[in-house]
Amino acid sequence: MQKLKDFQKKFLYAIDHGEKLENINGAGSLNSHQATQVYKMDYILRLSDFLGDRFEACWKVLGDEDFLKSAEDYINQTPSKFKSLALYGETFCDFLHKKYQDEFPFLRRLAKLEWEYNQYFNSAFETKTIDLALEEKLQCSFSPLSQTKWYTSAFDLIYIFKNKSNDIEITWEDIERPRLNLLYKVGYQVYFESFPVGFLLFMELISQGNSLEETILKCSDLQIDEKQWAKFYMHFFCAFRPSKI
Amino acid sequence: MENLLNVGVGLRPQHYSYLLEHGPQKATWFEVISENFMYTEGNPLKILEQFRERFPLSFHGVSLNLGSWEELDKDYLKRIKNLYQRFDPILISDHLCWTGSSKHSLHNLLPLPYTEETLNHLVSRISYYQDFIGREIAIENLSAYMSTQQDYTEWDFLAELSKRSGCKILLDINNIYVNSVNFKFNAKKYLDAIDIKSVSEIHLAGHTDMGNYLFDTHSTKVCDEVWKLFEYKWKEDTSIPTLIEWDEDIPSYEVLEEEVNKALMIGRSLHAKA
Repeated sequence: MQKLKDFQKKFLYAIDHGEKLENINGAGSLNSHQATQVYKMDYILRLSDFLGDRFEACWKVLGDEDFLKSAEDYINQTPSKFKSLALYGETFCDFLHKKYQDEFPFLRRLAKLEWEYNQYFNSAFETKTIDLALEEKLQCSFSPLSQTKWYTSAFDLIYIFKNKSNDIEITWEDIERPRLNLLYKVGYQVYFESFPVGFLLFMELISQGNSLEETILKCSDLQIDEKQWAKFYMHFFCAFRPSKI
Repeated sequence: MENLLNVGVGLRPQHYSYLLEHGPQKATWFEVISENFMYTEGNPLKILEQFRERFPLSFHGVSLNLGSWEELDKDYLKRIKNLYQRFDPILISDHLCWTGSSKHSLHNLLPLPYTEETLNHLVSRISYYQDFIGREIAIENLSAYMSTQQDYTEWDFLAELSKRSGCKILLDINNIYVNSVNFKFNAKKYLDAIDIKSVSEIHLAGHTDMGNYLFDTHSTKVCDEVWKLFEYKWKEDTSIPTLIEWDEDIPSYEVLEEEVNKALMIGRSLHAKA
């Protein structure tokens, strides 16, 4: 199998390093280098399309030129090792962070949110236990009733996510507010909710063993309207139960 | 006679809602890309089950990597076997190609040297695969943008592969046309070399003229030359299931049905002449 192996190794090397393959005939009037480039460009375009689809909110933040350039740089640095494109791009979050941490400090969290959204989308219907980011912060453990993840962010990432496909222009004023976010799955559907970060106090007090009545009393200074409280209660008590209560 | 003509459509997410609500007009079956359902346990599988309850499905793979010098990926094999067992497709297929290595997958259908060495390698791999899966696979000819060392023409290679391995052939007429223009050969000579008894499915799709070569984009209607080649081969056996593929710039489902109807009209005309 030596000749087949040699051909395939040289082919991959030519794609990776932009070099031409020897002893090949290009299609039509393509020369050897141009024929290799057809495969190289198809690879870049295919993976760029995929990253654009998977990280659509990041694309909206960065704009076409910066996003597509970032995608191409990432693809060149990070060869896919997967059988399915759907598994590619987990480290794109860190790549974007390194490149844009000063300009868009929220970009890694936003990219991670999009990745996790897709993980949830492709996960099974059945409930399963997952790690909760707040467990460490609150020093307690939770038993999710369904696939659920709470986390805080310094910016309103959910606002960006929910407006990723429309023409609404996103300004700093729209997103510069700390939020408590909830990502969860019910049946086959994945949902996001965003709450004022003040609700963290409620979660901390409950997890410390305070009664519901005591907790509500201590949270009365949060200046959060009743509708927000109602929405938060519904999600908090439906999405998971703190196991130490 | 009409019910002997089985023309299907490549099932794509853009058409899920329409098809689940209205159903197809003339298409009698659908083909899905296997890999789109191998790495999910969520909604895509639920939707696929809804289609499976109503229509015959075939499964078309793009990542088996039959021609690679590396070992077949065991995790992939287990996953695809599970998928087949769950959905019991009417046909299963993949390509006469390699797709990269375990360290670098190009997510593309890459051309192979048509040599005795490659042929022996593929025969052994297809035999292993068919034993593992427990059923026959169809292998599709592909569009290529380069050719390398050859002991065989592509058509002789494909025919010999089917003969030696026992696999079926998924004959993509558009790919044959694209290659015939790109590498300057007579497409009818290719079709004549393929025994119709070895063909289990035909693919039809559109391509794009890039100026200095043809590119298999699946982004347009089937061109006249491909329809003529299709008629030329299909007349040998119009019971062979035929599929309309459209993967880029995907139009409304009705446009695909127009292509289905063109194939059916050719079938009816062939029956009338017979």
